[in-house]
Amino acid sequence: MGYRKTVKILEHQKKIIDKIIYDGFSRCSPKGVYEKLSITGINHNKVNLENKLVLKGYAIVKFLKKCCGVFLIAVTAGNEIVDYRDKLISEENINASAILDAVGSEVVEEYAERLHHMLDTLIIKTGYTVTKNRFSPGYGDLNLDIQKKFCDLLDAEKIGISVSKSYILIPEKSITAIIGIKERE
Amino acid sequence: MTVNNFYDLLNNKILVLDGATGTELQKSGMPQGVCPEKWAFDNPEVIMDIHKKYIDSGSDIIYSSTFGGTRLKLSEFGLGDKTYELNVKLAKLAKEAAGTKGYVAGDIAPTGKFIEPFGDFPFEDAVNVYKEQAKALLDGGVDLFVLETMIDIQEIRAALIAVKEICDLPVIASMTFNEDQLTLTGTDPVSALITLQSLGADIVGCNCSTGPDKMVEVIKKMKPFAKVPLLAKPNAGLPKLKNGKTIFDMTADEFASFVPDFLDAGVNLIGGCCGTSFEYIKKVKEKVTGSLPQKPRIKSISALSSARKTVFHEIGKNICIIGERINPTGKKKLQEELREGKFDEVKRFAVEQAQSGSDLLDVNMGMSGIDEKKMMINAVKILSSSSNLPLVIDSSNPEVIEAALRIYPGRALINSISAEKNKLDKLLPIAAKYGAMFILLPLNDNEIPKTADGRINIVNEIFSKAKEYGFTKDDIVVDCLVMTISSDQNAAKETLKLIKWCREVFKCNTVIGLSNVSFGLPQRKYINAGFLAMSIANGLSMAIANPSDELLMFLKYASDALIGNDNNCIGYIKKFSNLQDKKDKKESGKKDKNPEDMVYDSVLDGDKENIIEYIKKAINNNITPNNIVDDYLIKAINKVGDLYENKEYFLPQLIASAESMKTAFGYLEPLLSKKNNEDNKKKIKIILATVKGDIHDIGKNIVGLMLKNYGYKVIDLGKDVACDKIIETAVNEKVDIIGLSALMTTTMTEMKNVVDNARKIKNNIKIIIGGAVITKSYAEEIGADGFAKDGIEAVKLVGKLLSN
Repeated sequence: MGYRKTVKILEHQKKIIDKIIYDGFSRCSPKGVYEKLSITGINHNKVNLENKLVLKGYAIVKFLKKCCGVFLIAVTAGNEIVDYRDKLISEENINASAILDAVGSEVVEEYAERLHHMLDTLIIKTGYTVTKNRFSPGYGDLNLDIQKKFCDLLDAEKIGISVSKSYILIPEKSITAIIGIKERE
Repeated sequence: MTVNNFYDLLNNKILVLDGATGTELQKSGMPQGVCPEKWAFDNPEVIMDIHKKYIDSGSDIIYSSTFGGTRLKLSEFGLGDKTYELNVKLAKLAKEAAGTKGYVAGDIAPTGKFIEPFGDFPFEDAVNVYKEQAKALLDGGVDLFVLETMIDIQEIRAALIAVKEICDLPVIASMTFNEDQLTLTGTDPVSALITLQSLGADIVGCNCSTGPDKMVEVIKKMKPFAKVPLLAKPNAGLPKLKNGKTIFDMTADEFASFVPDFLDAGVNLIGGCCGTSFEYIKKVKEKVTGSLPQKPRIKSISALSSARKTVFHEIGKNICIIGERINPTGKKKLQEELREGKFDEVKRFAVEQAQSGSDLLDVNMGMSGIDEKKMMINAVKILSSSSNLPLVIDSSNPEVIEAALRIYPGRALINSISAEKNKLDKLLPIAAKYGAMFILLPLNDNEIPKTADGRINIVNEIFSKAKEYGFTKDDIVVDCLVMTISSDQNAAKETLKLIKWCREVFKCNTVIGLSNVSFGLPQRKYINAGFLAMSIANGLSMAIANPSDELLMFLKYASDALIGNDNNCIGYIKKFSNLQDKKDKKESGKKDKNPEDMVYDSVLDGDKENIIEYIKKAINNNITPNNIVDDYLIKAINKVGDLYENKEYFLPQLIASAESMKTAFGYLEPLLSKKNNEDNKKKIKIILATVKGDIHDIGKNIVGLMLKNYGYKVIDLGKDVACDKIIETAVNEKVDIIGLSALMTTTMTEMKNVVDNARKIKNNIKIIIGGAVITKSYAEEIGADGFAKDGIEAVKLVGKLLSN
């Protein structure tokens, strides 16, 4: 939300914001699922994964160039934070709703980050490692229309994630991403 | 090997563990993508050779090659049915390789599932998965167990409980801490240590993830609070990318150069994780040879933990407040919710009590008409992920207490264990098994002794029984029993006597439940607060209270400062210096400034509570409403805009200012309209909508708020709005500007559709767009009249379009 060292803020204003943040955190229940898949084929504009999922696009090919497999992940901060935010929007409490929205985003990002790190920890002991970055549907030329198949494959429904007609993940504070697996020296 | 044998060994020397195994298997020809356990099983000579080389390099303990040996991990390779077979064999191979020269630890690692409460995999299922593997390793003849590379405190608890429930062999519990010194689920080293050592881990430590330099810091943090020996098994530095491959580039000599630091920090077992090999272990062995181990510095500790926090109970420190609110007794709304299986109130009480200064949360689910055990388990799960405070498990039913302790990812306090026969016999073994602390309630089946002396007898009786289960005085907190003074004049005095005895003679922590003392009296808060102050003076360590009671909390801080609990009065100063500042500022502000300037300040400070009051005063001072708007409100919001653009304000401040301005407008508008009818007719109308298919509207709402503050009439159509509806409204309402928002590349194309259709029907209408993925060039491309990146820019853009 643009907080940086240059920001000057009164103590009581900070307290009000902290209270909303704290409240927001308690309304997040982050959950995640993942699946490890081998790359069975890769050419100039698509990557084939076992189970017949195909990732199309030049960007994803570039991202997975040196990889032998992938982790597909789906994570969510849960329903409650989004519902609560929407309740506040309907009450025209714009400030609190905007802060809660940011809390939800932070929580789901941080959770994805930690899951990413966990997968690395687990796999590094077997002589592999993972890509430093994550690649999500919608990045570059990897179409968002893959969301549905992606979530079905992960059975993301069981952590409460569904996909809307326009490929938006529901609850809103959810992320799907691809993490590459590559050999370690 | 028994735990005592193991400890004897550790008393005399630093034990060296092995290094990486997975990479050694690869070097020996294990192909990509195969199951390492199966490959080692099929190539026994290779894995035995690796084990032997570690023993020859100086390892006193080697790990069986069963890192991925749970049914869940093996199932990824379709080998779930081979779980027993593989683990038994791999344990046997390790034993055979070690011979009489070393010990074998049965290696158990994460399942890869997220265990509840942080995930959705049932805790008991995890316990069973680990039990299956542990039994096989036990049958394979391992000497001890190691739970390693664990990233979630709840998963390692499941594994620890599993092993403890099938055998008495020593268990090492080793977690992985990231560079921020937290585990995946946010547990810090000290909380992990407190939780694991009380649950029965015989060694606690850390492995993997960081290099030796960072890991030394973790050990340093743990050592002062460890009653068990500590282990470190770091990586050979941090992974680095070289020619597209990840490598650990710390040399064996560099790696071993950290050994003296580890020994100083108090490590008792040391080895290597990723990136280490035989050479590393050899060098480590050379460095430790001849060094004497540091024994644990403490035998017991009075501390409670959650998954993310530890609360220590040192006698003579600030007293600790146990928030009492999560208890349905006398709370109608909470009762209703619990009957419906809802936990919103529970969560709300948790947040509220944490914010008003609770150190621990009491959880009581005792109420007729609900399944207490089920509700307690759910409450504990919810609270352990939504709150950082350690829990106090409050129930009169031993079964409920056991269920809660089993699932709770920390060290809890039981409320309570009395000398009532059926409770004492049932609860002591439960408390011991899960390593909980407990509140000792000095009453028995026959009586609640009226005098301190009678209660002292029961304290001694319960404690002598508890000692048989290994409890120390650090593990107990005596409830000094508060009775009502309106029915017994001496009740409070006897309680104070018992507090003093516990502190000075028996030397243990004490707790009181305050509110009973004032029952039946008017203005109970004075009696409660006064009694708390007196109890603190007599040496009280904890109080069960409502932390929202200001008088009580203020007296707590004062009493702690007066009695010397509060070192240099830091706690008191921290609590009250801020309060003082705020009051001073408000008062001086009121004295020095006239009300219209305060209106300006209220917008700047985002103070919507007081702005109307200042406006009223300003009007009384003959400032016209128009003046207030033009000379104060608009000027203030412009200033806020500048501060935001200069990055001196961040978004929540901007919005808070805009909201207080809106509040002011709401009040002033009717007053303005009387004088400015003509102006009002000309009021510019703007539609705002998030386009069809998109559900993101936070940014659009902020833009709407800002535009309203500049006097525009904003028609907010909400989110996921169809093109037809936007255009229909634009025509019917004679709208001047349409503002469209979209956050996604897939939905932004809908903007073009709206622009095209709107132009067909109303050629002169202005259309502006915004949203995370929108750019200026996209606006030009689709023929929109402008792009704004935030609310401030939107206001400027609208101004510019209208002046053209």
